[in-house]
Amino acid sequence: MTDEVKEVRDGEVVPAPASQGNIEKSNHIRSLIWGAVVAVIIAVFLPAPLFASNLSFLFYMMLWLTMAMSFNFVAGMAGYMPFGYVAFYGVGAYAMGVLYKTFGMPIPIALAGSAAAGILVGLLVAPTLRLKGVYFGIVSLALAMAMKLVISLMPRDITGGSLGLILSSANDPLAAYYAMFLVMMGALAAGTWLSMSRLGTALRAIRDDSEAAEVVGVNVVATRLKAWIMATMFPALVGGVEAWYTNAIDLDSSFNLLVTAKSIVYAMAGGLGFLVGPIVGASALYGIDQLIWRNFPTLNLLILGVVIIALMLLLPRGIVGAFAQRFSRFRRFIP
Amino acid sequence: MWTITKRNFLAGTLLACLALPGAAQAQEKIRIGMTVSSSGNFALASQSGVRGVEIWVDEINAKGGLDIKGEKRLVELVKRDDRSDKQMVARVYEDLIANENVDLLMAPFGSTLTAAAATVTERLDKFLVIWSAASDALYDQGFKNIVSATQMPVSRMPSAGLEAAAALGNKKVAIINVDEPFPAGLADGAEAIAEKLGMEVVLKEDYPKGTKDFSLLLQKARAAGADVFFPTSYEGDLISMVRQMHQMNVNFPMTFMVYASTPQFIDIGDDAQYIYSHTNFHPTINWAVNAGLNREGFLEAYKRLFPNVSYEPDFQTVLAYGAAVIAGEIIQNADSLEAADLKKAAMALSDKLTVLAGPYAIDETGKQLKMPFPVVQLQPGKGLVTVWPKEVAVAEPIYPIPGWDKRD
Repeated sequence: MTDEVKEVRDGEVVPAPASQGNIEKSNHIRSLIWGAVVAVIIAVFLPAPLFASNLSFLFYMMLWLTMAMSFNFVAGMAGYMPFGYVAFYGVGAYAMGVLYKTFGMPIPIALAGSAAAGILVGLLVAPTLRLKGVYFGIVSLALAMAMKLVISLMPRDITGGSLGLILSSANDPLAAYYAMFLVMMGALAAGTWLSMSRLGTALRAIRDDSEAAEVVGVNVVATRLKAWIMATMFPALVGGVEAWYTNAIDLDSSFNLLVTAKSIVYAMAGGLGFLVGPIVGASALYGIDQLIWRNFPTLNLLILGVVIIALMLLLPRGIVGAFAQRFSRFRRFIP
Repeated sequence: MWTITKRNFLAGTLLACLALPGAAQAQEKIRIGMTVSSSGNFALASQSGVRGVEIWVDEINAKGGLDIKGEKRLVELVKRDDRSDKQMVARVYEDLIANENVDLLMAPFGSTLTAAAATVTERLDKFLVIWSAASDALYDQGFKNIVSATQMPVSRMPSAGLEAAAALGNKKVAIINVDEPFPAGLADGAEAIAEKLGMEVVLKEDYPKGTKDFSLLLQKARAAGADVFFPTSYEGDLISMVRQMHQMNVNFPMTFMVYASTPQFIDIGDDAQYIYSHTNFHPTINWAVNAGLNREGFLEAYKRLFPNVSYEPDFQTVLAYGAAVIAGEIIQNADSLEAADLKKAAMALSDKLTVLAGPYAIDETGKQLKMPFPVVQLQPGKGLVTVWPKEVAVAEPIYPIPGWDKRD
């Protein structure tokens, strides 16, 4: 990977490594670190159901890891802030529910339908990728509200109305757990591909200066679209698998804006733009959240809020971002 | 100031050692897990419910606890926050079982959260007592260890009203509803129940949300020869309908309106008279309770335990309290805290208990078959009185409803 000559991150110029050998070496170390991270994730989640009874804790940890990672594809790598990220999650949940319950399809097909629905909605709103910054954020927020409204206006026979859908005889938490595991592995693979391939480099170039990227021959529209599609497919799949896990879907929980907020907070707490950022952020905050609600049943939300504010004030670039800033010589080793 | 000296440290240690055997002899408490929503959509309803469960815990512990295998064991309610969030419910119920070692669980509020909790309790083989999940589909899931102790499913909610209608000799029913999920669910249920009771459904129509003019629907119902007019919409629409019935002099021998027992509806004045409705908590509803407190005892306990809560007990409090009472009876009858034993006892007690919320009966899926909402009627001079079923009726129904032109 020799195309990584000079990188500008957060407005700071990172000195290019002196020689080809150094680049090779740092790339190698970075890949090793990333490989180790992935290995740890697999080692934790793959055998866990055999030993532990806290399946839900691990299931939702995978859910948030995946949500934060795929949020990073579009926010960290492409520089978009989709405030309506929950739209894809909700559409995925409903696609799964409607295909399984209303149309009687088997669960794997219903889940494929979730992914397809997410991509479809993503493609429908792809023209808004032309918008920049806060404008894009607002449009995507409106999208989430519009999707909720569309589903609420659909016939009750299909979507279950305000009572939502309860997926009869679909209850198989272990299978749903491994489905979520596969989705998470997919997101890890996509992340690896995005960051190590030319596509990732092109995305970062667009994020930092889209006009300059275009001048050097990056196909801005196509590149963005690829990242966007990945960023829409995963939350839809996650929504679908979560619906399977809890067997219950309703409008309020499927289109809860907190889903977006948590994805953003988890990804940013780790550090946007780094592959490991969302993983570190989601694991840390999810763990802290678990500790807080277990120990402070009444004040849990307040304390969590204070923790998040403190984190954002003290480490505005996230945990990994702060580390990279403090020890800038190690930055090139951070995946 | 009391400081730790060597002597009182030793004395304390000695005392603790002496106290330990006594502590070990005391029976372990029965731990019941439950989530409450501190925030979100379900916060109010969920907190109303948990107060009902707390009244029961207080009542049982005052009596020395529940009887299991000849030993009295106190009850402890382990409450956690679920933030009205389905994801939290799955995590918290798991935590309650895996780490807090609760013996059985009370469900959270509402169908969605209850479904999420049930997947966990089922997986970890614990018994779940439901007090507020009205979705029929929940009971088709094949869950083995759930029991809806007090909440009947939506499809059965209109049953008492229609049974009263059939008992009064009505033959033809007109059902209308606003095109929204809950009223539509009630209307579908009403149609099925009416047909089962041998009545003919002569009109069943929905109308779009926001409709203000019901004259056409009223004329249709009259033209169809309906004896019973049965709209299942919310208060606002019902108020407009009654006003228009008055203006157009449209009369039915019986008009049953689901939300006509609410203060908002009754406040409209004379037009609200004679309308039939249903509710489960009202001064004139007093079931012959054979488990737990009756209405007076319950109200007294509520005042004593929650003097600072600005809300009166509502039907959620009553449902949750009733469910907790039934849970207690199930535990004592099972003589065990194993899910399968508890379910067996729950089935055995079916049709044998009557609590504050009404009579209890379930089928093998755990679905509630009784707990009817008694039928009430607003009668001149008497106010809202219970007229059906017979066990709780305090007045004869005024039937047929006097025509608008025949009232003073």
